[in-house]
Amino acid sequence: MVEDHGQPEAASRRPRKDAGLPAIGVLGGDGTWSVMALLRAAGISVAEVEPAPKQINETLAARFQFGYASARCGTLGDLRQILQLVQAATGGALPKNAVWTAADGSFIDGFRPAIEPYGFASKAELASYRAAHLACVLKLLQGVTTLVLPLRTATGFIDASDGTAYPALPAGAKLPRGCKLEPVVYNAETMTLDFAALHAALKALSPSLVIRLVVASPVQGLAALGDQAQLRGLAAHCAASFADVIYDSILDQLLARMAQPDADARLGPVVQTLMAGGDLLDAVAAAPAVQVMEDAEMGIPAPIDAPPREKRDRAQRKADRAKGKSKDGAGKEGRAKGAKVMCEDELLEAFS
Amino acid sequence: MRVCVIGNSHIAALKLGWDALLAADPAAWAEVKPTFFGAPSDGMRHIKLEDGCIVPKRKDIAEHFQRMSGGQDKITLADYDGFFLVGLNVSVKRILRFYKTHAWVGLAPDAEKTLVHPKFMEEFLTERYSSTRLVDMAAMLKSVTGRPVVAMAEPHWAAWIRHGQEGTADYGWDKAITSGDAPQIGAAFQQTVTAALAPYATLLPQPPETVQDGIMTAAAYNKDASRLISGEGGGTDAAHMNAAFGQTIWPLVRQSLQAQLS
Repeated sequence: MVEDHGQPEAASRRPRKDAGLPAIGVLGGDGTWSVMALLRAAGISVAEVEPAPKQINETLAARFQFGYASARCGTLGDLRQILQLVQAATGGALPKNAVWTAADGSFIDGFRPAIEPYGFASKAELASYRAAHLACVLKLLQGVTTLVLPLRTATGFIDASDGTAYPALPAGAKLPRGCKLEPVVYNAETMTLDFAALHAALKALSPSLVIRLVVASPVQGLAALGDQAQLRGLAAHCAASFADVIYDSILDQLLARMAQPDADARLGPVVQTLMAGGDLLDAVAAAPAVQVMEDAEMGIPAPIDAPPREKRDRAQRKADRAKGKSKDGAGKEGRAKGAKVMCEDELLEAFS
Repeated sequence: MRVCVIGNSHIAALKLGWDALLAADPAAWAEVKPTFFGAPSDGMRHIKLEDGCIVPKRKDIAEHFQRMSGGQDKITLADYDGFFLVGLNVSVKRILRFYKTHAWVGLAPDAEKTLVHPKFMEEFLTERYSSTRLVDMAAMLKSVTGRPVVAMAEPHWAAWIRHGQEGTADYGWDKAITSGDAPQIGAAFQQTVTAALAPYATLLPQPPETVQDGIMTAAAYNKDASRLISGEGGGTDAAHMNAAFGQTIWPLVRQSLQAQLS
């Protein structure tokens, strides 16, 4: 894993505030669109303050929404919800209608109703669980130097009684009496104001924080396209308005490509370069055979030729040596086969 | 009732306990006829199923079988009315490893740990305990024989290890007990291992009189285990138990198997 690849040039020179966390954090994500998972697939180390246990299997991790973002805060994706989360993590009061009821009568967190497949037995349990989550979010916001905010929609749901934004109500769940969620479409002015408030809240917490906006969504269709066009305009506007806000539409496109089932593995180094503050030409120089530039809509040149085979072989051998592989390909892995077999518990302990 | 006892090193306490019971009152145990098979550590993974028999794939395991059973180098499954599995790498250490980094709602607050829903703990640990030799063996026996299978996990470690000693791995016993979480951890262990075994076998919980602080074994049940079982001497073995421990288990085995066979 690469520790500091996600740094914009200016940010990478700053000392890390929390040596225990990687420099990059991602707020928001789910099984359909996880920028954190894509960045990790690109070889970039991303902070995770509510991680799954190491031995978890993929199915269970997905069911409980582990590994989609730096904190288990749900999909998010709209500025109002992100702003509310930051405010809550910094001591904001809990809105009156934030505790919902599942079909079985248990209690669920209205701000992330899809995170747990089960509700809590009591409101007190839910409150302690939520407090622990918000403490993790605060730790994240104070610990990273770059915060990636995936934006995916300009619509949402608002509690008409107090203006609080919520995710969609899950099937079977009930809202508190008197609470009604109204669909809302955020206009540019509202989102600009929300971002300004979010920026101020984040900078108050961490003055040197760099915010990187990413706009993409797995949702197809004209409405989604319209949403994204609006969000891209907003992101560009925010980046132009604040020196510590970065938006790069090419990164959007690359991440969207990486999310495809047949994604080219060579996209990773390009994403790394862009996340590190480099430009596309740097990426091309670093990964000459990458075919990410074929999309004419992106206005990017066609792929250039791969280097001669001999040069690539040398590079591969160098990479193999770095991984500890020997000439015959056995390397550490091969040697380990001959090692004394430990019982499973000891093995797990050794790797925990 | 012909009982096939299969396990790892923890089978020793059961053998010592059986000998003590039989010596004290042979008539009371006349209907129970155990035969022991085992191999130390994770040795029971070196076996294969062949013509209704469990056959060791390695010579040293076959030798263990012969020594423990009184001459048999394979287990003929049809020879038994029920099966009793012992240890086979299921212990509270696994849940303690999880507890080092995670806690579930209801345990003592700890800002350094990720707090999870109790149902997540249940599902995660049940899945983890499902991937053990104990459950694999139970599944195989049940599917091949259809006969009752009872199982016990490895005993909790002796209470004196709680404060550790030089060269001993710290599995976090002391922290769990000091925080007040140990009883819930012990209960979660029993709950999740029971769930993992449920399709194939009945878990016999460690007898309450032997348990201390939820996740430890009272020192009396470990006395002399170093000398009698591991052969290390010097009182350094906290993992294995003695004959007194084994004697507390056999009534549970008999009761469970008889109930399932009747």
